[in-house]
Amino acid sequence: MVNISLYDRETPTWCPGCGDYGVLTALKRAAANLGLDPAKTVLVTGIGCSSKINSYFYSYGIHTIHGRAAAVATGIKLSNPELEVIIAGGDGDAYAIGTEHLVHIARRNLDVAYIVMNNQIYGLTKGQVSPTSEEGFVTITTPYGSYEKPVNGPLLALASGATFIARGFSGDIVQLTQIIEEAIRHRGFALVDVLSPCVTWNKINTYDWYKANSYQLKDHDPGDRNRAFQILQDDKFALGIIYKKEEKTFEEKVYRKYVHLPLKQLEVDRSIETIYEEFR
Amino acid sequence: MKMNDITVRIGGQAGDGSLATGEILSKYFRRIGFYVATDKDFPSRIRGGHTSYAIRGSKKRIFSLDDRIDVLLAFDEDSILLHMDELESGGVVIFDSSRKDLEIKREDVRKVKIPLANIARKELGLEIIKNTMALGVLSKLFSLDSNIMRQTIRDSYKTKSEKIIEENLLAYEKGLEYSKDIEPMEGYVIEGDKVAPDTLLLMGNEAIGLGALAAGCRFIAAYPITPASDVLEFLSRHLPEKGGVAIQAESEIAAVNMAIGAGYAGLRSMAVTSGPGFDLKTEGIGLASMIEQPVVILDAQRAGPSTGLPTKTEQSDINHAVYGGHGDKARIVIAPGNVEEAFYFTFEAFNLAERFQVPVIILSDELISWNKQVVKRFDLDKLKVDRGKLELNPVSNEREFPRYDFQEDGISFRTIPGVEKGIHLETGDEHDVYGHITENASNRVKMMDKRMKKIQVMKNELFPSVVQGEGDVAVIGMGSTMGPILEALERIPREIKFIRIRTLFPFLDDVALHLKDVKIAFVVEQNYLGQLEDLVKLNTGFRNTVGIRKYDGRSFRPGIIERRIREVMGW
Repeated sequence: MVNISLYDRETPTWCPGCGDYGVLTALKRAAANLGLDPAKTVLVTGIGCSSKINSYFYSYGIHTIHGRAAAVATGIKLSNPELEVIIAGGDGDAYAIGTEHLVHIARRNLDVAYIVMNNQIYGLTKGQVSPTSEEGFVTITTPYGSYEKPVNGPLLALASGATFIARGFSGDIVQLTQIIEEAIRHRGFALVDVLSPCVTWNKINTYDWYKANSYQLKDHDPGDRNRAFQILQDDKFALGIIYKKEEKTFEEKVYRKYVHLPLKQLEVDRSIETIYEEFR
Repeated sequence: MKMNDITVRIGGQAGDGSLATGEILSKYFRRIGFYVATDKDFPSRIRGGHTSYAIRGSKKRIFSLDDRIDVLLAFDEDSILLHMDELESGGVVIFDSSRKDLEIKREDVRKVKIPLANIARKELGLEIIKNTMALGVLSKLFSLDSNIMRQTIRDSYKTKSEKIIEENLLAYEKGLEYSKDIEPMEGYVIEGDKVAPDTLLLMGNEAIGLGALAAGCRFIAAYPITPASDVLEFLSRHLPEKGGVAIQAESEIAAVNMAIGAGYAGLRSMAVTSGPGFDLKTEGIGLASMIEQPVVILDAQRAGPSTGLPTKTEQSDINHAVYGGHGDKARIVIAPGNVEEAFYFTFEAFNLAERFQVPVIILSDELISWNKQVVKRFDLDKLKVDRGKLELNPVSNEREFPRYDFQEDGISFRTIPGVEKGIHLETGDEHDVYGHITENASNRVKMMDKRMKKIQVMKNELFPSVVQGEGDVAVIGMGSTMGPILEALERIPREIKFIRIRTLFPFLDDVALHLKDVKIAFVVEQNYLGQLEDLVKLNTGFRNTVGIRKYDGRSFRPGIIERRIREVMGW
């Protein structure tokens, strides 16, 4: 096992007490347990507090555009399937501006793990309503309470064809480490929704609130897709691996002949003469 | 007498086979050694509606249609109503009189009425092959080589079944049989070669696809959009054979970001689109500029704004390609003028993108993307792949690779994930040399200067203007207007300098030099506001311009340009 300090990078600038510290620690521990090579790992993020995580985790990292991390990650993974590609970001990234990509990356079953740090509020822009905020939730942009129902990200991903769905809590780093480890190990698309409190802007969905409103899955068969649908519609948040199934990955289906690996085959077949016949 | 230069317009309802007939005819022209120019005109819908396809074949090198047509092959009444005025005096209209007979008013043209659909249905049992029958009529009228035509028909359907090939050959014979009493046209001579030259007949989009393959592009992501989808379709067929990936993305935004991801991971990658999708790609192009990521984007322009005229041509994305997006950005915008250039520019776009680590925008337009032209077999030996400062074995002992290190030319060494000593961050936030986010003011200035420096450095390596002719009267154009401009100038026996701009950003200094002794410059472009004219004025200080603009969605004909120049100059 590698030492987790291998993955240290900058000191985070998150607020003291932010749930994302727990996610960072769990990610580092999971990486260490799996022995991830930082040179062969890419942490792809969008925009937001949580998306800064690749500034704090030592590996290749690309911090992209708000909502587009999953699309960039798709390009990376398809170009070099040997890389370990991990996506991370917030609920705004995954379930609002980037919802389209979540649906499609899930149905493709691209072999990547997507860690969503869900705090039910917009943090970096200072406290606006989020797609996962409860109806009636009062924020600076919803002074009369939110008029919208929250997006159920994991349910959406499951319905879209994701082959791994789990939920963790940044207050339980031990379990979160196991979940992230499993998600990375999983061959196929893995969504990890992490209840990760924002201590500065969200005074409702706090550590204590999440503890009171979540429960541990017991004697659950993650292969049961119907049961997974039910669990994801519970009033309380189920914690643990909710669904898991092995299916062919997107990369396996896409590559018909041979995989072009950027590092190994810089000299590619550039001939086009065989196609000329089409144009005679 | 018209020698070896003929334009045929084939019109009908969608489903009448006008496009298929036009394809065969253009292939025939290539095989007898002619050059070809085509123009598709069809509505943005699948069933019904009038469609027409104009094909010009000529022994001289041409890039666009002529003002008039010589043959109108009309499968429906609309063809007569819409295109009869276009027909040259002394030309011929072939009218399929199966649906109804029609009185054709003009006396100065020849009229051949023949119930093609009825004959096809009754004698061949298949109405839809009336279009191939029409080729028989054309063959008789213009004494075309029936052996070459038969072979062309056979080859055109070779991906279909033998049955379909036989049916079409039979239809061709039937067409010849029914024309045996028709006298050949007087005043036209089509004298082709017996042996096909070593050329290719292809549209701009196919040339772009081939250029990408030849450049070693191994990733394309796109969302279907007219008129760029052909490139995705072409590469979807051919990339998998070469171990590459073609992916139809869930959106325009997804497509550009996937292409950026692929480029980041080390593959040569591209995204293709048209105006509405190009708008959506703006933020991604900004990211590529900021993280200095090579990526190639095709914008095959169509008439806008918004959905505009989806199947019609325009050159109104110039401003967006050059200026679009927030912030100061390094990028390259190049505009090929014909199908051959579409190939070579695409090839070079991948080199430029990697050498300067910027997004490269290929600004095509619908006419180039769809126009079929005859080109010489591409000279692949000339083409060298240059991946720029791609460092796969960095020797640095630092924990992180200085991805954005300051270099004399502003271009840092780039590495890709998987490289042992290459670990670094990339971010659309302002960053330091290792890619770490920083808001430090002096770093911001240094990084901006570095990225902007590339704009100056790249200028020497982009496509200079092509200048033809001399004189103090100039015509300026870009992209597909090249063809009609060249023909217009042939018709005006005066000294005129044609300046064809091929790089729009960064704007090159050569244009100002070419305008030094010019007194008046006509700027020809397909948009309302004169976007190219503004660009020229802004970058050269030259003021005395006259715009020749068109924004009806239809391409220029030489005559429009010729008349306007003569009118203004009093020639």
